Parts: sequence; C-alpha cells; structure tokens
Amino acid sequence: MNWSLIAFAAFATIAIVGSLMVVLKKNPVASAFSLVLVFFSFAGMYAIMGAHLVAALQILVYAGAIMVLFVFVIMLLNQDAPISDFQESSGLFKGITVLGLFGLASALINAVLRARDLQPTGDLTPEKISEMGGNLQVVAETLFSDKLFHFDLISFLILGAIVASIALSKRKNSKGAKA
Amino acid sequence: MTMAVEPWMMLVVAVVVFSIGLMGVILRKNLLVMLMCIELMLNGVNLSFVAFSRIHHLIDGDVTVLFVMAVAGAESAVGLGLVIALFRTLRTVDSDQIQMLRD
Amino acid sequence: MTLSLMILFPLLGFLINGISHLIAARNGKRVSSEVSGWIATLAMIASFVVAVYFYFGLKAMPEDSRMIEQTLFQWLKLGGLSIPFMLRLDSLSVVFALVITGVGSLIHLYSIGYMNHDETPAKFFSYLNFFCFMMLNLVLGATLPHVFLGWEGVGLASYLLIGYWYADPEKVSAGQKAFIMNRIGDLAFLIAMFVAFKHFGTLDLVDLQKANFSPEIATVFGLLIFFACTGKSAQIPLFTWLPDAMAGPTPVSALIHAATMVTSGVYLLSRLQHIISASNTVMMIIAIVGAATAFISALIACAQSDIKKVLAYSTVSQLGFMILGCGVGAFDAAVFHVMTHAFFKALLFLGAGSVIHALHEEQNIFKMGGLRAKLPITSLTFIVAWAAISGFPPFSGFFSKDEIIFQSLVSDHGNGMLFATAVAAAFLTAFYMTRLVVLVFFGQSRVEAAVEKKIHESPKTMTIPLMVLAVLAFVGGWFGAPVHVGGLEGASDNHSLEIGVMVGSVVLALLAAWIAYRKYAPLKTEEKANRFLSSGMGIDSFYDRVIAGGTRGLAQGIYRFFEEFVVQRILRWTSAAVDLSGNMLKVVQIGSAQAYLMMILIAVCIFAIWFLKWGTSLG
Repeated sequence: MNWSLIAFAAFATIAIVGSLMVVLKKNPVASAFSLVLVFFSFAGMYAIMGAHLVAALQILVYAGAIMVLFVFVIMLLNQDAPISDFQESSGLFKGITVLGLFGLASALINAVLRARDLQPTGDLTPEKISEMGGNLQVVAETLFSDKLFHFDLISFLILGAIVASIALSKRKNSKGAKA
Repeated sequence: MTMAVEPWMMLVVAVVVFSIGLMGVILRKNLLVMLMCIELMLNGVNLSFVAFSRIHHLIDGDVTVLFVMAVAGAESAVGLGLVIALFRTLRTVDSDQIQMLRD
Repeated sequence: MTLSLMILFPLLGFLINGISHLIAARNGKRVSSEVSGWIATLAMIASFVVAVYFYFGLKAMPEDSRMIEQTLFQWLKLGGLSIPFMLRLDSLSVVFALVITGVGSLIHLYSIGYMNHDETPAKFFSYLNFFCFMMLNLVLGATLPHVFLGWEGVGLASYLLIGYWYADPEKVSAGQKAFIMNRIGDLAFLIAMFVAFKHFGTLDLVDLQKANFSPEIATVFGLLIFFACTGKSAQIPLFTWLPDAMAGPTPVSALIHAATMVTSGVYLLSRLQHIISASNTVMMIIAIVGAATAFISALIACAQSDIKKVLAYSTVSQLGFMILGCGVGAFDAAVFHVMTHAFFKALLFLGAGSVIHALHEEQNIFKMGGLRAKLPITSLTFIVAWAAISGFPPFSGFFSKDEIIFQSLVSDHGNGMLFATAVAAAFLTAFYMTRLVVLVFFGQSRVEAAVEKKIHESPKTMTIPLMVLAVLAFVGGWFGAPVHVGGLEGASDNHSLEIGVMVGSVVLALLAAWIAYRKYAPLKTEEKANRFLSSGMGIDSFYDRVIAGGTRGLAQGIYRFFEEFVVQRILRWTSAAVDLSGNMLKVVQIGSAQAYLMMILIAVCIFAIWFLKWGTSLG
C-alpha cells in the first residue's frame, strides 16, 4: 500500500473541491472556511513532498493569521449573509473568461507534462537533505546565508505593510483611535 | 498502485487551483471573496515552487515560498485595510459599485 | 537683319507698353495715348520694314527654293520628338506677314486717335502688339506646335481685346464666347497634331508635305484641321462668336476680326493643302461649308441695324468665300482674297469707327444718313471699300472674288451648286453693302439733333490710314496671285467662260446695288427687318439654350448626384465608422479591475502558448 499516494490523492481532491467551494459559495463566511480547508490540504501536500517548514508555516501563517484576519473583517463589515450572484456580466464576458482559462489551463498542463521530463539541476536529493540535517536545517541555512538580502527586503516589506495598515485605518479627525 | 508521488502531480494540482482562483477573481463581485481567490492563486504558485524545487533537487523553491507567504500576508493585511476604508465611505464591498473610472 | 527681328519688335512693344502701364497704374497715372501708341506703331512699322526686306530677298531667289529659315533655340524635346523654335518664311507666309505688319501698322496708327480718350491706352497697345507677335508666330512657325502656339496666342489676345472694357459684363461674356468657341476648334487642332505625329512621323511643315499617307488618314487629319479652322475663321458651326466680338473697340475688330486672326484658318488650310487635297471627302465638306456660310451670313447681314454687325456678318461671309476657294482647290485664289479682303475690310471697319467716333458712339445705321457732307474723307474711302467688296473692277475685290467664283465652277472639286451659291452670295454682298453705304452716307439725315451739331471729321492719325488703305483696296488686285510672287495665274483653258463669269458677276453686282439704292435711299425711318434674319437665324440662341444650357444642366445634375449621394454618404460613413470603432475600443477603459484581469489573463495565455510552442526566443 502506497500511503503517500493515497494521502496525496486525498489531499489533492480536498484541495480542488475546496477551492471550487471558495469560488462558488454564496456566503463569504462559507468561502472563508473552505479556504481554510484548502490551506490544510496544501499543508498536507507540502508534508508529503518533504517541505516540512513550508507545511508548518502554511498552517501557522495562512490558516492561522490570514484567514483569521479575513473572517474578522467579514464579521466586521457584516458580510456574513449570503449575497447575490456572480458578476452579472454578459455571456460574452463569461465565455471569453472560460475560454481564456481553458487556454491557460491547457498551456499550463502542457508545461506540466513537459516538466515530467525535466532533469534535476541541483544535487539536493532527499537523502542528501536528511544527511544535512533535515529540511528545516537546510532551509534555514540557505535563508540566512545565500538569501539574506532577500530576507532583509522582505522584512522591509512587512514593515511597510504595517505602516500602510495603520495609515489606512486611521480616521481623519485627530480624535481617531486605531481601528 | 506502487507508483511514487511524483512532483509533477503536485504541479497539476497547483495549476488547477491557480486556475480556479483566477476564475474566481474574475467572476465574483464581492471584494472579500476576490481577495480570498487571490490567496488561492498565491497558494497554487507556492505549491508549484515547491514542486519544481523537488524536481530540480534544489532548496531555493522552499525559500522562495517563505517569501511569497510573507508577501501574501502583507498584501492581505493592506488589502483588507483598504476594503475597510472603502466600506467606510461607500458602505459596500460590491465591486460593481466601485467602478468610478468608468465612463 | 534676321527673321527673328520681325517678331521681336512687336514683342518689345508689348513689354515696354505693358510694363509702363503697370507702373503708371500703380502710381495712379496714365500713359498718354500718343506715347504708347507711337511706341507700338513704330514697332509695327519696323516689323513691316523687315517683312519688306525679306520679301525682296525671297523674290531674288529661284522659284523652287524660295524659303528662308532661322532656328532660334531648341524648344521641346520629348522622347522621340524634337521641336525647335524655328521661323520659316516662304511665298505663302510672306504674303501674310506683309499683310499683318502692313495693315497692322496702319491700324495701330489709327488707334492713336481712336483711343485718345481711353483710360488705359498703354494696356490697349500692349495687347495689340502682343496679338501681332502671336499672329506672326502663327504664320512664320515652321512646325505645327509653333503654329499652334500662335493659334492659341491670338485666341488669348482676342479674348483680352474683345473684353477690353471689362466693366461691362456683356463685353466680357462676348470675349468668353469667342475664347470658348475657339477652344473647341483648338481641341481638333491638338488631335490633328497627334494624328500627324503618329501617322506621318513628323510635325515639321515642310516634312509634312513630303510625308507618305493613306487617303483615310488624310481624311481624318483634314477633317480635324478643318474643324479647327471653322472655329478660328468663323465658319458654320463655330461662327456665332464673331458678331458678338464687335463689343471690342473698333480697331480690334479691324485688325483681328477682319484682316488677320480670322484668316489663320485659310493660312492653315493652304499650308497643309498637299494632305488635305488628297481627300475628296474633306475638300467637298470644306467647299460646302464655305459656300453655305458665305450665303447664310450674307442673308443675315441684310437684316442688321448695327453698322459693326453688318460688317461682322460680312466678314463671316467673305471668309466663307475664302474657305470655298480652299475647298475647290484654288488655294492661291483664297490667299489672294485674304490679302484684298484685309485691305477693304480693315478700311470698312476703320471707316465705321470713324463714323462712330464722329457720332459719339452711335452705331445704329437708322440713326445715321447723309453723312457724306460732314465726313468727306471717311465717306470717300468707305465708298472705295464698297466698290472693292462688291466686286467692281478695277478694284481689288473684283479680281480675287471672281477668281474664287470661277474656280468653284471649273475646278476638279467644283460643281454647279457651289457656283450658284457663290454667285448668290456675291449678289447679296453687293446688296447689303449698298444698303449700308446708302443708309449711312446718303439720303436724309436721321441723326439725332443733339449729336448732329457736333459731327466732325476725324483727326489725321485716323484719316491717313483710311486713305492708304483706300489706295491699297484700289490697286491691290493688280499684284495678282501672290503665292508665286509674280503675276496672276493668267488665262485658263476656258477663257471665254472666264470672261463670261466676270461680266456676269459685275452685272449682278450692279443690279443688286441698284435695287438697294432704290429701296433705301428715300428711307426716312427705321426699317422693320425680318426678325428671323436679324437675330442670326436663331443659331446663337440655339447654341445658348442647347449646348451651354445643356452643359450647365449636366453640371448641376452631376453636382447634385455627387454631393448628395456620394460625398455625403462617404462623410457620414466615415464618421459612423470612427464612432463605431471608438465605441468598440471604449470597452477597454471600464475601470473594472476584473476586466483588466481578464485581459491580462488572455495576454498571459497567448504568451504561454507562444513560449510553449516556439520557445522563449522572440524570433
């Protein structure tokens, strides 16, 4: 029994179904919870591939922080009721979109199938990684040595986001408290 | 059934999720749902990064995913802040009502 | 002494007078009629001297090779066609040159007095010199394009001079009518040149005489050339401009519409006689048109009440005689008649001008009469001209007209019908001329009292030309056939027939004169003329209604059709197309982020497909 494969099939199915539900559900809260489901299944897929840090962070950051924020805002804006339909755009619009998506999807799937024949360019096979101390070890080492610059930039980005959110939520009058 | 989980299978999932997210962004009117679909797209991209990282026997994909997650978080925060600010003025999160550039 | 001097003097006169007129007009001054007139007249006299010099030069040459050429410069070079600006003088053109410069000088002299009350005499004299320059180019040109240059040039000069008093719209439209009718003929001339170049391979007049051609081409060419001549020489159908051209000053009528321009048709036919006489069809047509024109316009002249209109129709009629002469192959006789006609018709016009001048612009012959006493010189010279045109020997007209009438009977191309028509026309000529003379100079005076007191004979500058012309009209016939620069083509085979015709025509002329005298001498009031005849048989108004009106109607119709259906539609559709495309493209700018996203999607799609198929190199 190939447990990985079974697990992968399960996670994949849940992810796809979940994302469909995100898009198709009328109630934003339902969409939000479906999204959480998707995130969990993604975490599972990451774990199957051996990207343990990413899997953990997926749950912590995405499902734990971002989705909380989403639900919070939904509740704050009283959007928790089921709302009206989709874009009442013309059939032409929808048709073109579907066509575009179809084209894109087929292109991507073509790419994917080609990817099957890709040859590895690096040398970090899973054996080597476990040799070097495991996924977390390797990622951390890379992050703080080769990618240190990127890391610093990202921290600046986060700083910028913090400032932006504060600025956005400030009220015009001086008496304003934070949202 | 003794086949191993190949990374390219992850790619398929990533592509599908990405496409569904894209469709959602285009077709839904509610701003919040649109933002959620954007998250879906980002997740699809993340998955493909990791999958390629496994194909090429590299670790860079994993690291990149970290950055993407950070960016996604920042973007969500600011985006939601914008929605709230917008809601304060326009009392709606319906994207059809917000098209002031039009005509 | 070169040939080019003959055309250079009038050109200089034109430039000097023209420039001084422009300068004077700019400063609000006026060049006097004497100054500008004498400049112009001296230019013409100088030209005449040159012509006489070359006349004697030609006479001294052996008979076969009487030709003097002078090439001035290379004029046109187009592919296989090389046309030099060349003047050529031979026995035919020397006659015309002498007439143009000689009679022209006299008319210039006359104009000094005639125009001395005019406001812009310098302009008038510059136009006159310009006309003479162009006319000389016409007769001296060695190639068809050169002749055409002169042909068009005299047409232009005619337009300028007919409409000289441009403030009067009637006069202007008379000038336009002349120009436009001439233009129709000019088109035929152009096409004839094309035919000549294509089929004869040359446009040089001497080479044309030697060219090979088939009778069909000769017919086509001849018809085209003759049609051009009907325009210039005022034959049927293009003759109605000539009576209207009387709107111009009288010296203009004398010079252009009597002595010179209208005879260019005869010149052209004589010049090309070798080709034209090869086609019997063309000759027949020419003869018939000439005879018919001579007769019909003589009829119309009998019913005119304006002194100049009588002379105008008389000119058309006499031109008909000349054309008839060409048509029956008597080209020499036709040219002879050109010469004599120049003398007596110029004299008639100048005399009429003298009368009009004396009566302060009165032109209605029924308001004249008995002027013999008050205007002795004018009336005497006028009577000399009358004798010439009516064909009384020994005056010049008798010799030339008789020769034509005789040839119309005996020549290979002649026949009895032509002869009869010519005789009838000659009869009518004597009749209407006598009518004119009697009504103007004899009988009771019907002049208005106020005018009658101020009648005086004209100044010397006007009467001297009259006298000179009278002498020429008297002796001119004795030079005989000028084409051979020798004596008259003497006796022909039918000597007795010739004598018979001569005697008969004199008798007829006397009869016509007597009838006219009896009818008009005792006339006290206005004659009620036949309206059909006096209006020119309605031909002119027919042209106006049908041709001019038809053209106008056609233009209107096309304008309406084009404007409404074509142009408006195009405009509307263009603006609609722009509108539509704008509306379609407007879709892009909708401010909906989702739409933008979709566009991005489609673009990404295209890129993805591209890269997958053809790789990322954008080649």
